[in-house]
Amino acid sequence: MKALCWEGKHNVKMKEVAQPRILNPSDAIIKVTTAAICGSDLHLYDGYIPSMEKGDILGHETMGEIVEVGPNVKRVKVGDKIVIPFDIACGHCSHCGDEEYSLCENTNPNAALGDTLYDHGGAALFGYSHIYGGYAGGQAEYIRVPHVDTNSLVVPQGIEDEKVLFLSDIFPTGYMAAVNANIKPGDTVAVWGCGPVGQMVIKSCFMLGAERVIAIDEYEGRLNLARQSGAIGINFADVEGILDELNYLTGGVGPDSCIDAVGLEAHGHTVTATIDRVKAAAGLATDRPDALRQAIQACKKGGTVSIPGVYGGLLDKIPFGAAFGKALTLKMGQTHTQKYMKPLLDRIMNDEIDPSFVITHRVDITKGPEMYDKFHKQKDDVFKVVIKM
Amino acid sequence: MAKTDSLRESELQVRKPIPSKYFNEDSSFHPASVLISKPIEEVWAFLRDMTNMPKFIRGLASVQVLDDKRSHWVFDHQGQHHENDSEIIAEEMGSLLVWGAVGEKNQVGAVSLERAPGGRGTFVSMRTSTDHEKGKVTGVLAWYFGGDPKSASYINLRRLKAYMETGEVPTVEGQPNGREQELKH
Repeated sequence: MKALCWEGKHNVKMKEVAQPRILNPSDAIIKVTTAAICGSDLHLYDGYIPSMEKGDILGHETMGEIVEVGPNVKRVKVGDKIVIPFDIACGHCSHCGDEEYSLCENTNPNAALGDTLYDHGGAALFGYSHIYGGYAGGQAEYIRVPHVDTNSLVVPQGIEDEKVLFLSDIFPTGYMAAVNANIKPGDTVAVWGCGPVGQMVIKSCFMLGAERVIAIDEYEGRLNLARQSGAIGINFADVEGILDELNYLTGGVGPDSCIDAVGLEAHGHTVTATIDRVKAAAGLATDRPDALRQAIQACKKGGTVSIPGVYGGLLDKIPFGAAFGKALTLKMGQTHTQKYMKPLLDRIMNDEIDPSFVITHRVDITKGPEMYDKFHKQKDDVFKVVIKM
Repeated sequence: MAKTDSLRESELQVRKPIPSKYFNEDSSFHPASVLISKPIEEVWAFLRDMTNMPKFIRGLASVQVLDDKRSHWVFDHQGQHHENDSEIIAEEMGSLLVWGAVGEKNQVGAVSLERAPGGRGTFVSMRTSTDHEKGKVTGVLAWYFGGDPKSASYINLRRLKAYMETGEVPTVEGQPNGREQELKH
């Protein structure tokens, strides 16, 4: 079968590889119909995530049709059309019991390695390095899904893939970020990053009762998309200071909630952002947390900072004194995708949202490597790429 | 396991230290520990049945029970093969199990169990060691005892936890990747 393989930093190739097979009794094999490239795939492409191996199959936003199931599979069956969550949960451990699926204890074959990094590692992820289990990803014609009864959402036959594909990651991620932001009716929420997750965050904030959403980015195209969802867009390249701007817009109070939908590769223009880039390039720091710093500084006293943006390592110069002094609540973590897939499918079926509004490119898998390159270089306004198998 | 009286129950709520006397000096590590979301009776019964060991110990292909104390262990991994007889050296029902290779004085494994508070299952600690006087353990046994016995114990405990909680041990062995293609050429 054809698959997009990570071959090294800034090097993705389409390769002919073996088809996956059932390895455990709760597995299923899925014939992929549509997959997407995620912003977090760029962290792999840019070499920010350790423990990738040459030849690893990429992709964690995937859907398709079940073609084979193992003997312990009970809930789904061959022929079902499913969306696959990006994180792999067992459905049995104490965390899965508490619907904290991304903290699952039993899916990472390299759990001891993950524990070395974080003391207590979380769930395995599809196509996202060996620390996260080394599972082959879904930018391929077929994918093996472990514990498929837990790691699947059966979608109605006949529904367009594009409407439901993003239930695999970015829609639940944006929604959980809004849930974590403790939004109350009438609140003002500031969102750093108007990438695809940021766009889902903005929609979700309004769904959960925010009255005003302030979207922060440097790309006008992204800001315009945010404006179409009802947000106030601020181009941080055009304003003198983002904190001054946010104080102006909130009468000096600060946003009730601040959401960092940027993560470890922030592209700020501040002095700290420049230092971060130099340090990361020199190997002296792993992450570039400028968006997070601003979110903590901007937030209202007693407010909440929600962090859907991915961080992987050690962060420098986090204004923890400000977080303490303002009695902020910080909430973060990988998305408990399985918890949110069904209620969010209901919102799609009720026409409350069509997440496909973020798609800019539709390609076949042979164009995958080229799209990674363009996405990385921000050429041709590549925003969200969907791969049709 | 038989129903426990109140004295037994209080014993199950304290994890016994794995006695050092069964281990050589080089293995004086703090044991590896996990929490398994299953009742202590179920975990004990599973571990006391030596035929279950291959379900979670890496590289252990099969165990044949010879009598109440002794069993025959076959290690087989990536073309390497090793066999020995193992016997239970010490046993306290529900809380401590120590076993070792017959004739290999220091090839010892041990688990101790404790009922976790709040009805959350069972704490299981594991310690393994091998005979360092004979030099470093290599080959298939290294998967079991490990160059670093604590890491090997922890990996096997995580596999035990996964098996007991989900009925399978997670794996990616045998899945496709873009490396095989190059090996063929």
